[in-house]
Amino acid sequence: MPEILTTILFLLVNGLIWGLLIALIALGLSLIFGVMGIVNMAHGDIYMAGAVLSFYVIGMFGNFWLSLILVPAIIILISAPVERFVLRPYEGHHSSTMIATVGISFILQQIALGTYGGIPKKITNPWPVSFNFLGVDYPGYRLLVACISILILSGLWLFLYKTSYGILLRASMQDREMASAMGIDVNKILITTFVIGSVLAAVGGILAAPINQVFYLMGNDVILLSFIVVIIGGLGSLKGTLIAALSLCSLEGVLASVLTPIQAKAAIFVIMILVLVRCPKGLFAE
Amino acid sequence: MFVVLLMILGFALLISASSERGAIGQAKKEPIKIGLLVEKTGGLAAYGYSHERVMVAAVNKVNKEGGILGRPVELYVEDSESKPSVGALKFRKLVETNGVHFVFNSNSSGIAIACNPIAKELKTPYFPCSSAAEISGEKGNRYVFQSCTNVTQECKGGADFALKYLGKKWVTVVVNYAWGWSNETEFTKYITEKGGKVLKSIRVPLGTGDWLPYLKGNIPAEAEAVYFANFGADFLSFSRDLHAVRPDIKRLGAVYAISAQDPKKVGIEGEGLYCITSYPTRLEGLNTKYNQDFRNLIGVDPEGKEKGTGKYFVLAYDWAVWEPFFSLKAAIEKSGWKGRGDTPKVIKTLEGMAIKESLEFPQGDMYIRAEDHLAITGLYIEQVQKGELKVVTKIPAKEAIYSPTVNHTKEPL
Amino acid sequence: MQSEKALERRETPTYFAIVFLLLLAVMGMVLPQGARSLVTHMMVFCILAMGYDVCFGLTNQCSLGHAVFFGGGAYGVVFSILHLKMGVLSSVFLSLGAGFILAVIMGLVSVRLTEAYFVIITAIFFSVFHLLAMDLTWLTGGDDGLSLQLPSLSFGSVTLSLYHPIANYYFVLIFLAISYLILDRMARSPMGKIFVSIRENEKRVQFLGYNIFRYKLMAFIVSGMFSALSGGLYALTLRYGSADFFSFHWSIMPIVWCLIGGLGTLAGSWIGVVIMSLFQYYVSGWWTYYLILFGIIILLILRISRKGILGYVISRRLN
Repeated sequence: MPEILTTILFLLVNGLIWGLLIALIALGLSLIFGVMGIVNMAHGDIYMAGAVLSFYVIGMFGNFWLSLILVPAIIILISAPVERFVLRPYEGHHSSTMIATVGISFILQQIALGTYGGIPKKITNPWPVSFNFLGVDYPGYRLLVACISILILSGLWLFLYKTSYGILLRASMQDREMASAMGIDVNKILITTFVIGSVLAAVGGILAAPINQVFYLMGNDVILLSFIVVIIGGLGSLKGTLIAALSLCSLEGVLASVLTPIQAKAAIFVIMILVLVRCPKGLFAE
Repeated sequence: MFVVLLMILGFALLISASSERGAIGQAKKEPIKIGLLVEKTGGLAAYGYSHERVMVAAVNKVNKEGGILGRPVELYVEDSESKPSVGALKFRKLVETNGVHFVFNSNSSGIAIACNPIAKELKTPYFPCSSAAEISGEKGNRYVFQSCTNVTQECKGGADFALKYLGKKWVTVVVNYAWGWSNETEFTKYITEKGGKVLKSIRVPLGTGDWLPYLKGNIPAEAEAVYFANFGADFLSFSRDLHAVRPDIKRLGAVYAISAQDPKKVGIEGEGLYCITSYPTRLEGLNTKYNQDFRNLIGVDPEGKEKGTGKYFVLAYDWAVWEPFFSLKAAIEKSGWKGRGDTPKVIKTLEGMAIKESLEFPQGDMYIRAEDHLAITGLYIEQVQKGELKVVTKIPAKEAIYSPTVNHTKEPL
Repeated sequence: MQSEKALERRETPTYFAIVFLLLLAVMGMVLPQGARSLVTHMMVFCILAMGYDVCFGLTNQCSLGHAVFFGGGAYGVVFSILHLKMGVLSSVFLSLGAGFILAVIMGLVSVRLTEAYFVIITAIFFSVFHLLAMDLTWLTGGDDGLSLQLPSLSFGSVTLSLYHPIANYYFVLIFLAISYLILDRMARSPMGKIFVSIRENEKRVQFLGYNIFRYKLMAFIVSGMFSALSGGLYALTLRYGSADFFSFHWSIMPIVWCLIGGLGTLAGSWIGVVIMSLFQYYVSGWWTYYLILFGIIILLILRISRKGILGYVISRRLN
């Protein structure tokens, strides 16, 4: 296969994998916004917390995969009370939640800085194998990340569309008053949603940690993109979020092969603007 | 309304409470105040940690030995938050509110460039520790003394070694901002001057986790070596991805590329890599009595980690926080500086000052060039060998010198 | 009763603003130098906060793109002094002009979108500008930035140099006062009332026959111009401009200032500026992680009142 095609194929797959990670994080964001009306500016820092905690788990137990179990457990224990006692009063008022979560973001970042420190550190590749596919050497770990992400996304889809609790959740997303009027325990729904959203972000952080490195400000890299993906996909449309994440990330990857990195990023942004001008409610708005 | 007025009053009181601490009489014991503008938070937080400890160690040493000219040294530390807007305000705070006479450091070129004019305005000598060449050039002034080596020196010094030992055909891979571009330009300039050739220049955005897209298919088959300028997390990603694309290629890194890294954790991908440095991370690279004592005083072990916490110190820049403090001390003692009014004397004493290697100057002999205040020192080349950093060669100062682009001595003080 | 309350709503903030401005005028002469520099910086941010309040507080358009105006205004000053060799005052007017142009471009594209979509498209705009500013170093100096040599101002026989800290202080204060007076007038004018009506109930205003997009655009442009003004004044005060002025910090901080200070009150946002700046200046010296405290304060203030401190005071007075 000619070099240029293998490069493009490689970049495409790379972009798709990054897109899957962003989709995980962005779906969490979308759920939190849709069900609870929280513009979670601290979402990127939950991603960071996942990565930092996994760093400590590996340090203590020596096993990366263990963090996929332990860290979400820790995140659940922290995020449930945070939603109930800290964020609940602001819910429904978008700008208040935005700035309240900015406050939480400050707190999370500084705690990470104070404990983990300001030096970016690496997590060793948990699966250092390569697969040769069509003449391209592909890192095994990234393929594994793709598989895990697809598994989680499928699990999420099953939960939201095939279980009664999941359907309740989506009902709350559409119309909370109606859902409450129909006797649904809104309190539990709120906590569950926030926990699910946070776990998604944290898992994204754990999976991303061996690829990018663990730094206390790493949340800033994903937060804006996650929001953009949620909006461009169309508010309330989980399918839209997924498609937007995959297409934008893979497109950027491919463009980076022909344009300079900066030009590629700028081109993606311009495309985003054009999409929003053409479809002011996003691609798949409900 | 009462509440509001109370708030305004509180605000006013708080502001007034920050009055500049005036001189307590003219007693001989009046302290010499120095300020440290350091990145404790923000993107460059990794540097601030060690810089602060090194400066504290320096001040403690001097105070234990009786101070400077019998006067104790008082250190004020302020966080620049890695932002020029905050850095500029904190610089002013150090001088205007805390009353410091001299300011040391910021690692960020942006902060240094923002503070240089303020240093001149407030007539306060400033010793930034960032490596943009313009700090000693058009964006500097007579009050500014760039205390570390800059990119031009480093590339010039490294180019000879690069050509002799690594190859003639090069590719440069840099992070996509000013520091990276300077490295790209300067390295290309000196390699070409000395008979080599840069086949391709690749630029990658800061913070890219994934360097494969930029490296794959972009390194010409005939390229023998790569000169790279990145650091921290970027370096780790780069090194891993370059190994995947061209495991055979030779690598030379810019100063600081592997500072604050554990060479053991760099893995097979880092093996055999060379790096220019202004100060070797490991004791054995510069095993002099002075260096041993210096490292003991600042509390690092022979591998460059802090004793007790195991955190890596940014030794490639820490020396440039330690040494200018002692240059200043020497200049104060030589010129008999008594107060702000004597600052021109200190500046003139610093210009052209030659210094011999010692505990206060463990990096090696150096001198401060009068025209542009550049610190002229030697450099080192390190290599990762079996997970350990070893010094391979020392580059004498004269190979890294370039003609000054400005002449600050013409500026009135 | 309704109109009395409406009047009351504007009286308290105006009263507050006038007292604040007078206090600033007096402090300029008695403050020690360090505090004076701090307050000068604060006043610049107050203009930014106020400008943002026009967009968000008055017409409920939560823009995440105001860093474009701040950076644009700053570079307006930088380019006019560096390349066009203009004077200080003219450079300020150029930065206003830059703000106008940028706001028209951004506004025409963005204003038609609502709520979350508006927020995101403005965020995308700021990202593009930030990216370009960091990349085009030959133009902007990138991350390193460009420093300025300020010419002196001359009014007939009197020459003032902004290098004189007191001159710098009052220069900024005058702009703050004039900006407040203009924006306050605007808020009380019929146009201002339409802005507020749009915030309260967009559909009804539309049914009444008003072209809400035109009014939203006007608010956006005014907001952009004053934000650019603050950027220009900041560049003059720092004698420096860098790509950092286009960073996310300058997009998000105005929202923090407005929300904790007093949304929609114009001058309320100044309280937010004061709290944040004092924290950053003083508390950071005692405790590096002062942002934890500030984060807690944000949560507390928003708990008590969604409209910030001044909003809380006003609602108390109205009951």
